[in-house]
Parts: sequence; structure tokens; C-alpha cells
Amino acid sequence: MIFADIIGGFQTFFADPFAIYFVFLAAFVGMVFGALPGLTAAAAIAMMLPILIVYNDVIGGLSGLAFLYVVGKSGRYGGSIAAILFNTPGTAASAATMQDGYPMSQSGRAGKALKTATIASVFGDYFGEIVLIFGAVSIAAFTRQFGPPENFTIYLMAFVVIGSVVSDSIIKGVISTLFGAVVALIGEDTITGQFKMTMGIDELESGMALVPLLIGVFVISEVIIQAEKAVKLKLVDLGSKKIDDPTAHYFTWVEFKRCLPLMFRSSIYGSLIGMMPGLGSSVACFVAYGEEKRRAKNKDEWGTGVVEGIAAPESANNAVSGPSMIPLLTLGIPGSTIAAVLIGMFLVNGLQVGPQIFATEPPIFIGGNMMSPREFIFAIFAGGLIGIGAYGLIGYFFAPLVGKTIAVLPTEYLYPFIFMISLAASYSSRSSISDVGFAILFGVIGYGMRRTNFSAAAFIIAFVLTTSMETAFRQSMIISDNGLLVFLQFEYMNKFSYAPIFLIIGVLVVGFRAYSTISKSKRTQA
Amino acid sequence: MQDHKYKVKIEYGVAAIVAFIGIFFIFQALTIKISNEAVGPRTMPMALAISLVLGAIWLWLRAYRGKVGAVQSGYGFIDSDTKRITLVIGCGVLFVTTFWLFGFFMSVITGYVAALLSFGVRSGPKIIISTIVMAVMLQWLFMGIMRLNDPKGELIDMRPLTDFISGN
Repeated sequence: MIFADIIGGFQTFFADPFAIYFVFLAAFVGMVFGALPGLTAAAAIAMMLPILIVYNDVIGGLSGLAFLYVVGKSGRYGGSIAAILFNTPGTAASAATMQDGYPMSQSGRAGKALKTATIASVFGDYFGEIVLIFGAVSIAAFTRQFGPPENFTIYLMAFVVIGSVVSDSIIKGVISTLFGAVVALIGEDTITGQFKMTMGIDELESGMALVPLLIGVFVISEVIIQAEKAVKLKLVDLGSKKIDDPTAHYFTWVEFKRCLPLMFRSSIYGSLIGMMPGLGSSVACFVAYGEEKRRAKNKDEWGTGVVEGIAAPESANNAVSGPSMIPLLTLGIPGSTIAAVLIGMFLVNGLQVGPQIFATEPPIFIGGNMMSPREFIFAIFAGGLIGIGAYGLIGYFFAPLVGKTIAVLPTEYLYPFIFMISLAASYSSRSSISDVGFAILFGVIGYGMRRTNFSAAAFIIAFVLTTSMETAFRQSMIISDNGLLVFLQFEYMNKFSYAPIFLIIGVLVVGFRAYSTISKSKRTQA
Repeated sequence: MQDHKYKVKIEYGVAAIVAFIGIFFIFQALTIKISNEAVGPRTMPMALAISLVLGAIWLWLRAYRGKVGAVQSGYGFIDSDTKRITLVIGCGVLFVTTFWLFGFFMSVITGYVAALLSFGVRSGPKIIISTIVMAVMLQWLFMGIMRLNDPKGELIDMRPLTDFISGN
């Protein structure tokens, strides 16, 4: 059944005249944004989302969604280029890659480092995508039966789990989540229709828009940080150092065979971490690096430029990409910022994310074609599989060129350019000047959050989830005979309820996180 | 030791800001009309706002007990360049104000020039050429291709001069 769906997904994908172009464009755009230190795939998506929404009817929903999905993947990979060539992680996900990538480049083997990163990323990403396809379909069949009490407790569990794991400090992660949630409740009430907390501002009656918030916390805050730094990137010397090793610029077959078990294990770590909402690539890369270094026979050489030190974190951080979509597609919970943004794009195409997305009925009208949600989602999976190959090809042959180009880009022109594009994109989401003001306001807030260890990702994920959470809460109250006890009972409306189980999971995760934080703190003091 | 004291001081400030946001939203939640049901439109905003205040108290207690953890790279505002931050925010405010007074095209011109100056560009010809290219490109992309609403400026309507770029 799933194999037939995958083949059908490829057929649907290739039937769309724009999709293949957009996937290759996304592979390139994501790679470049990921390679630009400070800018992430989320920033690229924030700036391009309004343009894709405006053009959704022209290009078709499949191209737009596949574009955003692949930008997320290639953006994670692009971070490794900056880590290897500039000794600056392009994204937090590639911070571990820097430890062996940069020393290898310094020793004149930048080509080998980049090709290792490319192959490991592609391996990890394909692994994660397979986990997504098989995992999501199986889990969705189970979660489809959930009602409002289960949905509310799942949202609550996600809030608590994301808040507690996303930041170094549990309380700051939770506060970031609460802040995102309260901002999301500004605007029209979904049940009574009355306006809430609009502060007398007419534009807020329809709520705070996602695009200005995204642009504020991810792009404008970064522009402020770059304005403070005003430093030029220093590219590692790629040409002048001559070394005798003929394989200095290649990831050899022998090295590949040696790294294969390690990449496999790292992909498993990445996939498991990716499935947990809030834990992202930045955690996966360090877990894989640390674990593989511990297992390695040559652990003393790690950090001096060994291929294993690049292959492990790159496989893990890209293996996060696919499984991070599992909570979104099976429970409606975005596991990452990129997944949160995809919710908006799904809604534009008339699709409610959650387990019903794998339903074969009713057919929907997307990009001029009638298809079932299941056909559509498998076409996006096909786009993801093609996108991985696309960024692999582009990266394998052109990563050094991308690095050289970024090194000569004048940052004093680049960041003002990005700043103007982001302000214009904020306006374009609802043609509202107020939204530009909100983007600037949240840029300042985002800057403050970054400087004081709050989590922008938790803030955005909570913002996206809260309206659905509130609706589920109030629907639960309507169907409940015992008020809040409906969330603690194993039965409601004569059917079994999983709600208490999700509450217990949430409590256990927070308890475990609190215990590990306290233990770590005690060890540090000792 | 000095770093620790600095972090404690910042954490007190952070707790105060979180408390302020929480209290602000409590007052906002009080403006929501309540229904007869126990759980209505005010319930969740109020619960979240109160939780924010409780979070602020927790942060304050942490700072008071000095248990704020080690100072990590990039934490705090010691390395912050207040002048540059103010300049970038000022560019944004200038963009919004010019947009309202003179429309989109002029806002891109003034905003971009101000941003270039904030980032340290001082070459007159480069500023002029890049600004013209930028303004024409954004006008064409957002108002021409994307067909967004190009509102007239409250003070001066510049649209007759830019319509040829937008294709109107």
C-alpha cells in the first residue's frame, strides 16, 4: 500500500509542471541561506512565505509546499559549508561539524570535508525521509480516532515538552512557550466571535499574523546582531596549500565504507531526536558526535580533522528533517519551526494538518487537479526525496563555489538588502503597514530573547498551536460531564481516552529534564 | 565572579520584563467579556497571563538565590552596540513612517539609505546606485508582479511617478 502510494506520489509530483523547478530552486536557495552565517532555513522561509502564498494559485499548492519543505532540508545541509570553510556554523545544527570540518580544511582538504558533509547529509536525510513515510502512516492510523480531550492533552504535552527541552533553562523555555501562546490569542474568538485583547488596534481584530512574527524573531533580530558584529567572513585558504594526498578533495570509497555503520547509527539518533517535538538538529549533531567519538578507536584524532567527525553530525542533523514532520502529520503538532510554518501553507491549500491528512477522501482541489489528501502528501514526500538528491548534487559539485561567493559578498550591502526584503515581505502578508511595525517590534523582542537565552522556536511553535489548543479545550469542556476531570479519565462519551497517558508523558519528560538539569548543576558545583 | 553578578543583574531585569508582560496581558484579559459558562473566551488568556507572572516570580527567585548558571558566549548585552541597535530599529521606524506619509517606493529609498549608513557604507555613488536598483526592484516585485495594494501616501501620493514600474 505504502509503496503504491510512493509511486503515486512521484506520478503526481511529475505531473505538476512547476514542482520539479521549485524543488531544485529550493535546494539551491536553502543551501545558500544555510551557508550564510546567522541566517537559517527558517529565515529564508519567513521571507519567501508571503510570495508563495500570493502565487499559490498560479504555481499550485504542491510546488509551494515542496519548495518550503526542501528549503528546510537543504538549509540544514548548507550550514555545514560555513562550518567547514569559515569556522562559523551557518546554522546551530552544524556547530559540531565545525570541530573536524575546519581543521580538515586548514590542512588543505576542504574538498574532502565538503564532500563528506554532502554524502553524510544525503544519507541521513534519506534515512529520515524513509522513517517519516513509514512512521507517519502507521502512527496516523492510530491517532485518527482521537477526540478533543486527547487533542488538548497532546497540545498541552507538546507545550510542556517543547518548553522544557528547547532551551538550556526549563523555565525560560516554558516562558517562551507561554508568551507565544498568549500572543496567539489576540484577535477574534473562534467560538463566540468576540474580539480579545486587541488593545483598540483594528488590525489586531483578525489576530497577529504569522509572517511578521517569523520575520521579526528570525530575520530582523539577526540583522540587528549582524549590525553589531560588522565582521567580514574569513574563508579558509582553498588553493595555495599543496599536499601529496591525491584523495585530498574526495570522499573515497574506502572512507565511505568505514563511515557507513557510523552514518547509519547517527541517522538513527537523528531520527529519534527528530520525532520529539522541540528537540532539533542542534541537539542531534552533538549527540551523534559525542556518541561516535566515545565509540571510536581513534578518539584522540577527533577534533583534528577526521572524516568520521564530519559524517556523524551531518548524518544526524539531516536525519532530523523527515521525522520532525511526524508529530505534525500524525498529531498536528509542529516539531520544528519549519514544520510550524508549513501548517500555514497547508491551510492555504485547504488542508488541516493532523492524521486526517492521510485520508483518501474527500478529494481536494489543488493546483487545478482533484486529488485526495493522501495523494497530495505523498507527492510532497516525493518532492522531499527528489530535493535531497538535488541538494546532494548541487552541494557535491558546487559547495566550494557557494562558499567562495559568500566570502566575497559585501555584508554591509547584504544585510540592508535582507532587511528591506523582510520589511516588504511583512507588509505583503496582509497588505498592512501595521504588520511592518509588528515585525520590527518582534525583531527587538527576538533580539532580547536571543541575548537572554529564551527560545524563539518555542515562541513560534506555541503561537501556531494555541488557537487549536484553546478550541480543543473548550470543546472538551462542552462534551464533559465532569469539567476538567475529562482530561484525567480513561473514558468519555463511551470510548477509551488516551488523554491521561499524554499528561503522564508530559510530566515524566519535564521531571526527567528537571532531574538531569539539577544533577548537571550539582556535578558542575562539585 | 564579576560575570555571575552581571548575569544575576540581567536575570532580575528579565524577570521584571516577563512580569510586566504577564500583568499587561492580565489587564487585557480582563477586557474580554465573560459568558455564563465556567470556561469561556477569557479562561485561557487569563491562565496563560497568570502563568507568565508565576514564571517571572520563579525567575526572580532564581536570581535572588544566585542560581542562574554559568554565563555562556553571546549572553547579555555587554558586547551590544547600543548605537548600532538603535540605528537599525530607527531604520525600521523610518520605513514605516515614510511608508505612511509617502508610500512604498519612498519608504524603500529612505529605509535602504538609512540601513546602508547604519552598516557603515559611506560611498555616495554606491549608495545612490544600489538604492535606485533596490527601490525599482522591490516596487516591481511586490507591487507589479505580486499585485499588492500600493497605498497612497497620506502626505504626498507618489504613485503616478511609480506606476510605470508597477505596470499600472
